[in-house]
Amino acid sequence: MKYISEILWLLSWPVLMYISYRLSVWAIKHWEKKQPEENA
Amino acid sequence: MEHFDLSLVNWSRAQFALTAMYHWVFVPLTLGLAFIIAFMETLYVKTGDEEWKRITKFWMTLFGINFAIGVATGIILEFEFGTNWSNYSWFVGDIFGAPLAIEGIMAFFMESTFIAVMFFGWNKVSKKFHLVSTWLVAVGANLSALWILVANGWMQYPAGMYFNPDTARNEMHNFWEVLFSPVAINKFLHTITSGYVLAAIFVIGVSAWYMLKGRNILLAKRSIIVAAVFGLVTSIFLALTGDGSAYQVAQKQPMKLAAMEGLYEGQEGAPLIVVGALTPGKQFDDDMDPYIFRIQIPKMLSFLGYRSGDAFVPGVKDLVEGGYTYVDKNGVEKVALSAEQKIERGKIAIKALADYTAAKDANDTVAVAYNRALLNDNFEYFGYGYLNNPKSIIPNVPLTFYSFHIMVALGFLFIGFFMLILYLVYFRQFKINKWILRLSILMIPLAYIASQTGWIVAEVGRQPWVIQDILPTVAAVSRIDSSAVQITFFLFFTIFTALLIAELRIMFKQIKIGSKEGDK
Repeated sequence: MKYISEILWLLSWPVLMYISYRLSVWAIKHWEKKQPEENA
Repeated sequence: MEHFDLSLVNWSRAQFALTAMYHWVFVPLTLGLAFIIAFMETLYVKTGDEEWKRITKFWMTLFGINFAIGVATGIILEFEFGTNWSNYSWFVGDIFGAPLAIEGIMAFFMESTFIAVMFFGWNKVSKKFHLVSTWLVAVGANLSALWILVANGWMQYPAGMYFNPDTARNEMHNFWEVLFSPVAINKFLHTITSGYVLAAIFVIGVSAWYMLKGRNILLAKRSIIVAAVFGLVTSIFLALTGDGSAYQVAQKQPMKLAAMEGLYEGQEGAPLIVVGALTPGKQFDDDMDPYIFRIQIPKMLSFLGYRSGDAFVPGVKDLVEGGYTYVDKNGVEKVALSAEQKIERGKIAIKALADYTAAKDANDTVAVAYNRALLNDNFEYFGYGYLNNPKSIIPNVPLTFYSFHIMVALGFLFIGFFMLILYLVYFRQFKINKWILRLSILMIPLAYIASQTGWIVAEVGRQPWVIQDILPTVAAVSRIDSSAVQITFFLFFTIFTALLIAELRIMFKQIKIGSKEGDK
């Protein structure tokens, strides 16, 4: 397909957002476990 | 040859640059903050923790202030295509207008519709519907950017079009080629991620101010974590798309690449300048050393531009004088023409168009066929026909060079900054030194500088072209009195500055107020 590399490259945008979101959630959970009293 | 009023051209350029740069003060924050808010609201909906709702609403207020003023400047920008650049709009409006129209009808309407739910829908719609609205605002804002950047990408690399000599206009023959142009897609990804990085720095900077003041600590800490993760991931992606941009520029706009690197003499295995200063007054045809000093990485420019450390990278002199060999888009090896030869062929194309029109009016079918063929053979250089001096194909090298190096240096600084913040959060239990908190605030203006310099590289580096090789900037302006453009320049300057001051004052006031409920 002619535009396959451009389409795949464009699809990296939602993938990037998903990865960023999952990592943010993981980072927050990880921090809350380490600092339970601060988040009470 | 038509006479161009350079005062008119320069004032028109200044006015467009002014409007675009002011517009770009507001846009990147909108693009990035929208997703940060969406992440935060998702955390609220998933956990039911009311503190996340307060955090979301706080950042949403700052987003709203920024969004409103961004729209005001953006609308003026679109009008300027008609008022100041009517020749451009007439010549390529059939192509350029399509992505702009899609942006207005699909993306901007979606964004504007759901922004109302996002701001006023709390407690009026369900949590999930509100969350979907917030995500649609984020996606809509970024899709708006997609279509605008497709239009801009097309100007840097005109694809999917043909020239119709009967109307003397360029017309679109393949929409997908315009949309999926490698320049457009790369430009979109690079530009939106720069907005994400800027927004992440903005959130960290504001949160750092709260930590310095000992206020809204939980809001600040949670915001810093979300923003630092988002910033680190997207800043690494920004570097990747920057590499993609350099590759595209090398293939499609070699003069821009030469200006970005201050490369006057082309060479095989060209190095990449990491830090350097250009010799003032350097001309492409003198023997002065282009650099006062430089620190460079051997062969890196060849590798980034052509994916081979030994590839030949043409310099400014090579591009003006021609004579080097290159591979064209069809994979055919060719000897580059000099700028002078291209100008000659451009003038042949322009004359052939005039003769074609005259022959058509006279019903001279032989002359029509001859001039059409002549035009087709030389159309590749059509825009050069409006130029008179080979030197005029050289952009402002120092401005492009310094802007590029400031942008790149700041981009790598931001990656290090996000890593430092995450290290302090996880390995030093948020014990962040006051100086680092102050540094975090200082990062906000640096992020704006990086963002603006990126656009300077893109737009100054492609001069003298408004559409690469097809239409120079001098031929694109409206034939109006330059005094009218001067007056509106100062008028816009005053209005935009007032808007910026208003935005900053409202932002600062809102930040001082902080999160409405609770000051944990």
